[in-house]
Amino acid sequence: MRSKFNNFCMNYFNFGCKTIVIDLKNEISKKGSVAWKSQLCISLKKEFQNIIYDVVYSFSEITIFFKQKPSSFETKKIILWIKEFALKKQNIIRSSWEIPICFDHIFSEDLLNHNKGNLLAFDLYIKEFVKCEFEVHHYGFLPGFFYSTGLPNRLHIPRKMTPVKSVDSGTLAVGDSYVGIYPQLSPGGWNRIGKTYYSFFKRESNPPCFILPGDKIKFNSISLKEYKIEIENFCNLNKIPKSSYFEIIY
Amino acid sequence: MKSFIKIIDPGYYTSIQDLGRYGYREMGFPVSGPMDYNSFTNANKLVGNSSNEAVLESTLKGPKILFSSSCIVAVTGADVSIYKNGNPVELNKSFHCELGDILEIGVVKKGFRNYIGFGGGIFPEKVFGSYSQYHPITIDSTIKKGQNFLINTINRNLEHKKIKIKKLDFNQTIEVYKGPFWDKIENSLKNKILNSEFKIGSNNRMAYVLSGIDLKNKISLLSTSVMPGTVQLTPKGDLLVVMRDGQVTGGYPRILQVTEDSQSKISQFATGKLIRFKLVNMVCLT
Repeated sequence: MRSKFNNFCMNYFNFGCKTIVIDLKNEISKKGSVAWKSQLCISLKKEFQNIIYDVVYSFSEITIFFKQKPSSFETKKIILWIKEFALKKQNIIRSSWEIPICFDHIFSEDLLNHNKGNLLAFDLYIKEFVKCEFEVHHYGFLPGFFYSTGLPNRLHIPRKMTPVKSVDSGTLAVGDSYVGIYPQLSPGGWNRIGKTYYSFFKRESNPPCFILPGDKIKFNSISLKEYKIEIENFCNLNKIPKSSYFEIIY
Repeated sequence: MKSFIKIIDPGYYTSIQDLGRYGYREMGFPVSGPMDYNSFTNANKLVGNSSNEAVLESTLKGPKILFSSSCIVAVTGADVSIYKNGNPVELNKSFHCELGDILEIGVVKKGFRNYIGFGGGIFPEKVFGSYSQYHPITIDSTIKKGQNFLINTINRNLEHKKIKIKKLDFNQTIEVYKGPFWDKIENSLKNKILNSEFKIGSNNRMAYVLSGIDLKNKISLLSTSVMPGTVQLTPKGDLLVVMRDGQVTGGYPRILQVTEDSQSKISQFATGKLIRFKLVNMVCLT
């Protein structure tokens, strides 16, 4: 189905009975930064919470999960709402985070292997890595696991062919062009490059995740000693890293 | 009155499931819920519960449970031997358990999963709106030996519900409709997929892996959202069917979508079973 409205074209299709996928590959996506897209999903879910369970977005589309099969009237209403959202000025608030990472060799086995044990190359990688600013793109894989973009090509490390059985919670890892932090102990195919003492999934809190798509992240290098002191204090389990707000206007 | 059941033996893989956890997919939460929706619903109906009451879902070998009060119970799903204090009980029929009774569910004879419904429901911790177990959202992913679970006997319905339950269908046909990527793959590949048998490989509540023919491909996509029933084509050439505890996004092409009925059906199939796909038109009940 295709729907035209002012200058926006929007394609959408049914995917299963209770699900609609909206293609954002065209004009509408020109506006669509990550923060804008994620805000669209948050607002859409809130606005239509009586008929919608979940709104999930990925790189080129948003998927709307309905409680029941939506009527054609409901579908039209939602499409119109999205177009209006796209046309209206939006002030979106997001956070910049500073996350301390210990890059000690005990936490960065895969980066060492990637550099074939060359410590100079290893250090150079870390030096470049901590200069990067990343953008949180979306959650997936595990509850609380966020995919971040912004890793320069030369720092990409291909995903492992065979995942390892257990990656520790708090592990910073690189999978191709993405960067992520394992929110809990799990199997994993990404390359371990460091570790933080912060927890990114708090099942006792609602919402359990404090990082939003569109947020920016920088990683600071800390020593193993600093890492150990923080871990021994235990108090960071409920704390969140340092952050500041920024506003984006679309 | 509130009372408890005690898990003497949890069985092979037994978890608590209600209809699932909705509203948190954007944070990467799987929806969870019953693998065989039809048998789940029947287990609740037989004991007079509403459709979203939590039940036990066992796989391969069922649990052994001690009752601390009287309760209406029903077991549905796979063909299995059920014993109350050592005496056989029928599948798909509700029965009473009293204080001190021990219910034991054996190893499946045909099928893979069983559902045990309790009149009034079973109440573990409710996390983010659901009783469904999925670690790390809930502390455990399965029930454990020695655990006690609250059952609600206030609203117990002591009437034995008689409902007609269709036998499980072990015919190999899995009904699917076109996924978003179906029309973008070559006809030869489509024909191969629709005219071949696939063997169920490793499988669990997250996904079923199907293999059988050479479907190696170089399709590379950005990740998109997936849901229970989505069939993805991996570069290696396997088909990956997303199940209830599956990821919310996936990087492989979504070629087919298994109908809700066939999702229940495939959940009763174990490793080694051969299946075939049948393309159907999407029929939605309003």
